[in-house]
Order: sequence, then C-alpha cells, then structure tokens
Amino acid sequence: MSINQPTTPCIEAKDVHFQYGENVVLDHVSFQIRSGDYVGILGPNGSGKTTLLRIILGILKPTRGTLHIFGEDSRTFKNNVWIGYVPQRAASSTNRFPATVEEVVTSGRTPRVGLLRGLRAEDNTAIEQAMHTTHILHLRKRLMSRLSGGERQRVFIARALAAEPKVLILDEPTVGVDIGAQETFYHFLRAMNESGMTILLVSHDIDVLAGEAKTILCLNRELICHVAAQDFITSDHLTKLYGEKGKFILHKH
Amino acid sequence: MLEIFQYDFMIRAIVAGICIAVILPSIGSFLVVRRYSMMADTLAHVALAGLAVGVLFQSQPIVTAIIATVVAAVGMEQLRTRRNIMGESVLSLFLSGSLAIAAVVLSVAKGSAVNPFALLFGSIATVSVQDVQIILVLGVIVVATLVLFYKQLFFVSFDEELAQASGLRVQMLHLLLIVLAAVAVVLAMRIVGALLVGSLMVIPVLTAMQFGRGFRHTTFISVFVSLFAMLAGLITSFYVGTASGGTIVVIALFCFMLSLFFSTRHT
Repeated sequence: MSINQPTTPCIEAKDVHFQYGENVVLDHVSFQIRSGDYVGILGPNGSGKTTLLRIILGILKPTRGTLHIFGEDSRTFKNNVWIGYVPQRAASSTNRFPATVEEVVTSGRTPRVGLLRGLRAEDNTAIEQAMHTTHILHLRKRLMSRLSGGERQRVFIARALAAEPKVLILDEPTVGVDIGAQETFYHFLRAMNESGMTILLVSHDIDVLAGEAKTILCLNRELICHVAAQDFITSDHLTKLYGEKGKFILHKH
Repeated sequence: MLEIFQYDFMIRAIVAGICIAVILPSIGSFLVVRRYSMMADTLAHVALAGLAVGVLFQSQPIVTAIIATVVAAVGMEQLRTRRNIMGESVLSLFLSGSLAIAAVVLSVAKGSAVNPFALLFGSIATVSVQDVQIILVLGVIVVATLVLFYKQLFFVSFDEELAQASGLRVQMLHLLLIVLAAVAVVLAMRIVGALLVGSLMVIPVLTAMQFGRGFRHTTFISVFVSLFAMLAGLITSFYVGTASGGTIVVIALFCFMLSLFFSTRHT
C-alpha cells in the first residue's frame, strides 16, 4: 500500500478501550489517521497517550474495540517494521552503554534482517541513507555517550528510519534537548512529512504541536477531539483537556 | 620446554581456561549493559548447589550443575515476569537459597572426596579430561549461539521496548541469554570457583568499557583482558601454589585498576 495515497487511512481506531485491572486508561477512542498526515497527540499525564502508542505498536492489545494498521487488525499485524518508533526519554537513557552511532542505527535494521543472515547490500544502503537523511554520517564512529541531546535524538530517528518505516511515531522526543536543537529537530520532521512520511508526535508542548502538526488528537482517557491544527487553537478543547482552572493565552508569533 | 607444560593437568586447565576466558566476557558484555551483573553470581551459587547434588548422588556433577542452573534461570525469569517480583529480590532469593542448599547437601555428603574449598575458589588440579571435552563442546555451542543471535541480543539489550515493538521475541531472547550465562558459569566453576566466576564475567567487561570504541570493540577487548587474566592467573597459581580462581580474579582486578588509571589520564 503506497504511503503517497493521501486518503488511505493508515491507522484506524474503532471504539478502542484499554484497562489495567480496574483502571480504565482508554475509553471508546475512535479516530482515523491518513497516510501523509502529521498528527500531534496531546493530553495531560495519565491521559493514555503512551498506552495508545503501545497499542499501535502492537506491544499492548486493546481490551475492547479494534485498531487497524494499514487495514489489518493490530492483534495480527505482522509488518512491525512499517512503524518506526522513537521512545520516550530515549535521548537520556544510553549514557553508559558503550555503543557507537553506527551500531545503534544498524540495530534498527535487525527486524528486517532476520536471524540466519548478515547484512546485505540493500540493508547497508538503508542504514547509510538513514544516517544521511538525519545528518549524522560524520558521527557514525562516535560513542552514544559522547553526543549531545539533539544529536542522540537524530540517531534514534535514524535507527527508526533504517527499517524503512511508513509511519514514524515519536513519544516526547525533545525532552532533554536544548531549544536550538529542538528548532532544527522540528524542521527536520517537517521535511520528513513533506517527503511523504506519516508522523505521530506526542508532546506536552501545545505551542509546538499547534505550529508543527497538521491535525491535533486530544486524549484524556477518551478522545476529546481530532481536529485540524488551525481549528484547535481557536476552540475550547484546551479547557476540556486541562480543566476550567487552566488559563490559556493564545497569540500569534 | 616450560615445566608447566610437562603436567597433563596444567595443559587441561589451560585449554579449558582459554575456552572459558572467551565465553565469560562475551556473555558478560550483554549482562553488564543490561544491569544484570549479579545474575552471574547468582547462577554460580545455584551451580554450586547443583554440583553438591551431583556429588551426593555420585553422578556427573557438571551435568547436575548445568541442569540446576538452567532450571533456576528459567525459574528466576518466570518469577520476575509472571509474579512481578523485583529482579534484584529474585536474584537475592536464588543466591542465598542455593548457597544454603549447597551447604546442607555438602554436609550430608561429608564422606565424599569433594573439596569444598576447590568448589568455592577453583582448582586447576580438578579439571578432568571429560571436563575439558564438555567445556570445549558446550563452549563452541555457546559462542556459536552468541554469534547467531548477536544482532537480536544487541537490539534487546540496547532498547528492550523498541525491540518488542519491532516484533522481536524479547522474552525468548532474554531467556536465551540467561541460559547461556548459566551454562558458561558451570563450565567455568572448576577453574574459577563458584564464588568468583561472576567476577570474571563482569571485571573484564568493566575494564574494556574504559577504552571500548563501541559494543563489539568493547567485547573484543574484554575477551583479551579475560584471556590475559586467565593465562597469567593459571601460571601464577601453578608456580606460587595459590587458588586458581582467586589468582585469576586478582589479576583481572589489577587490569581494571590500571584501566581506570589510564582512562582517567586519557580523559
């Protein structure tokens, strides 16, 4: 299925419900994400954002309802490599692991390589391309512990890209990354999206999501809204999301 | 010819030692980065209990030790994941529990020819031809398995969550690593001793991490450090008459301290 078909839903949640024991984390969540979209996922702590991502990634299964990825039920979806993932706090979790940038990016290709064969020419090309796209070729022999937060984040995106995914999911990717590097990082994500990559970006930064994403998906156990970014900042969704006590000043830069 | 090579038991110890020196840090690299350094110590204590049972029933102790450690490795993983008991508590439970079992069983088997000191601290004189054969065969299997699963083990060790999301069988790989560690621990016990085998899985890796320019590079350096400590330790043990395990680990510790000194100067 081509990523360039703008109307094809690549992720479709139908009445998704998830609970840990008695604790309901997601309740009757339904939405569609189309190929080529750039979705900002917003919600307070404990709103079920990470759980939703884990269901999309196939780590968790919905208690009720269905989630389809490229038309296939997430419970039976086998093409995990189509979904690239940059986990939360990834940038700060590798200080003591003695791995080079190249080793980490290459590890992202592992699911495509399989058990009984080594890297082939096409694998090496994909790895090189991922490092080229993220501008880290010059860092390939550098230890991860010697990188800045912004550089590390680009390595983790390169690792995800090495598997040649159709969708890129990023969970709070700029935690621990300085403001300057964040600007470069979001510029890079925009370019990725313009080249056809579907992006799901989880962040607490409302300003960034409203400015960068094409659509905003608000979650607080249930789906609050899934609207175009320009409609989001003029609506009362933030009050629904964070309560009446929150004060929001909306301005244009 | 050097005097040391005139003794069959020393040639057996050196052949077995080289094999052990290669496999211990190769597995240890994955354990250290996954923060499972205590796993090797725990498995060594379980192996001690297994050896003691083998001695009691006059069966092949190395076989009962391997069975005990593999069963314990699976049991520890089940307790950690299914019963949601914290990892370090599970290790502590098995470590102290198996030491207690070993103490009880060895006291029952008092009449046997087994030397508890050799079990705890290693002895080059106790390595039989059959031991060397088992160590070589299982050693080759362990190294081949590590090479075969290297990519997957690296991915899981570096980022378990992403490996799971990518469709890798994380639990199976985790279990595989622990079972390999269990087998390696038993193979090393005769020479290094139950109380010290864990340190030979960890110290060469920590030494190599001071200079390693990548995971693969770190693993290679740790194997060289381990080989040096093993051979120097066996030779020293032969000429000075010290316990082989203790001597090997003291030399490995010395290498680690030197690495700290030089890596600090380098920094």
